[in-house]
Amino acid sequence: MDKLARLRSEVPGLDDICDGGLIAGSSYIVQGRPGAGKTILANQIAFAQARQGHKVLYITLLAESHDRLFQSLSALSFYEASRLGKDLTYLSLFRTLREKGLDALVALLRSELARTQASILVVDGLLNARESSETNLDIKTFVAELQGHAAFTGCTVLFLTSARIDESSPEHTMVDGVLHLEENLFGSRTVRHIRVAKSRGSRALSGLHLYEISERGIAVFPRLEAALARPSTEETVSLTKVATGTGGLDERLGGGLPAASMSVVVGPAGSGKTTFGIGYLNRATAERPAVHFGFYETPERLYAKARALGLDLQTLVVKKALCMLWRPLTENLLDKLAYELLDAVRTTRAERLFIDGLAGFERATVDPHRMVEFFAALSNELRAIGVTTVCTWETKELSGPWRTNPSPEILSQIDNVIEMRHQAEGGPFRRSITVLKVRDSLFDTSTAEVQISGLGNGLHVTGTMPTAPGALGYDASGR
Amino acid sequence: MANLVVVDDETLVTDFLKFLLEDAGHVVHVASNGAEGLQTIQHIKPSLVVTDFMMPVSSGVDLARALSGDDDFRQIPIVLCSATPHAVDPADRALFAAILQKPYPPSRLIELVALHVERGGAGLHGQP
Repeated sequence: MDKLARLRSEVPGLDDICDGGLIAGSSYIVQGRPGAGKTILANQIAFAQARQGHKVLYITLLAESHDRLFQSLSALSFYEASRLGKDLTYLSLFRTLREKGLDALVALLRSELARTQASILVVDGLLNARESSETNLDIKTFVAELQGHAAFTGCTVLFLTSARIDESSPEHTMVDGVLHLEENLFGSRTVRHIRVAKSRGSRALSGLHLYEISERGIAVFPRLEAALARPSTEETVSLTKVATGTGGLDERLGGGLPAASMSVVVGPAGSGKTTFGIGYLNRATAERPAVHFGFYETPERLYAKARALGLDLQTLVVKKALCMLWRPLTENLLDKLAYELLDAVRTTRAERLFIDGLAGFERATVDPHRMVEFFAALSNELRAIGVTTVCTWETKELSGPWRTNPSPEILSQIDNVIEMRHQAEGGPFRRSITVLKVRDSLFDTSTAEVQISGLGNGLHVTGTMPTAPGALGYDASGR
Repeated sequence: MANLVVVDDETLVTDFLKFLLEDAGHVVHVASNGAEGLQTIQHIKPSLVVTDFMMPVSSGVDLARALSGDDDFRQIPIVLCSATPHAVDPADRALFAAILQKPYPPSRLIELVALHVERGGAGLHGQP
């Protein structure tokens, strides 16, 4: 079977949700309310095509001046003024449409396509064409004639419209694909989604995908559980163990954490989870690097915290043994976070990853129902890449069974569970650590007392706790 | 008062320039592309032409070339107003009496029109 020729849009993520890209010679409707980013998207594609050596014809059917369009585009990095009038031709046919109608518009478009030898045609303002048509048949004929001409000449057409195009609309039935852009309020924040509402002859990634508009233009973040429904590479199960960096803990884990596994350290604030992570990251080397992906402490605060333990993370960063990514818990996009994380792990070829903590992903989402599937996709991919991941998960309660806090559906996807606690009942303040679950390995179920020292060994086991109320009595099987 | 032809595919631009230049005392004729502009110019024989660059059918440069190749019209000053003047080939720049980059101050166009219409002399009071 011949492979369809596709356009390289250079819009991050767009080609991924379109099964590899828009099909050359096909026609698409880009639909969305004013401000959704249709014009930016079309221009981003247009400039990318121009950079790739193609000619672009951009037609406006709007009473909007091109110099204002260029002014607003000039703030975006893909815009290259030097290409205007050479590789990209912008024409206003508003007057032709208004004074002479759709037939004259089609005739003029055909001659302009031939004159400019364009392989991309953008028609901005299909709504105006629609309003100029007396019947549905007129607009259907308009779209069909342009589409036919474009297909014959191998030209790809993008019709931009702010009109609501439902499945019964004549334009919808005619075109090969429909990209729907929408912007919605979730609480007090605005979130943008793109959906491939129609994709003829091509298997698009269904559903809503987050996108953002920045100075680089539009970037689409394909819904992780759809894009990575199966991991990108096959997982190889290793029997290798990875040192935790917490003195005395590896013995309790049966030699360390299983390589390429997913671990979670649960516990209340102040129980030592981040300190655990610092010790874990401190074992990184330039040959076997690590990534820190945190939502709370800035890198500078973490360096200071490590220094207080007698550990030097900053030097590890300088030596390229450690990559620090801090994403403050402000307004984040869930899938963007995941792609940044995966990209950092892939780029650095990290063998260790510390995520502080999982709640950062929960806070980023506007659709909490996605979290189980999202986490399944993320954890499967991290395992397949081969990185050994440790996440933190802050429990809300200072006492009681740990299982009452984190989602059991997410915990069931985690290979290893370590609980950290602190207690001051009936004596001095003490910290404890209990291994609750280790994948395919025997482990010590007793609760160990740990101490934090500033002598360069950070968190370390000092012995077994005589009693650990609340934590004892739970083992790997959850009994 | 002078006869002027304004050529631009954007109605916003032609509507505004018609208002602006008529307010300055000129008679303004409008065309929406280079080919239509050429026909209007041949009919009107204006004192000055204001044209856009990127237009359907034929561009502002096509129009200027056509006028420069015609003895009857080559003396008509042409002011190019474009958002993309850098796209004009350096060799073609000489076809224009002045080049303005959009957006420009309206007063600048008024000045240029006054300057070139005055210089043109013969076409000042030309009527179709």
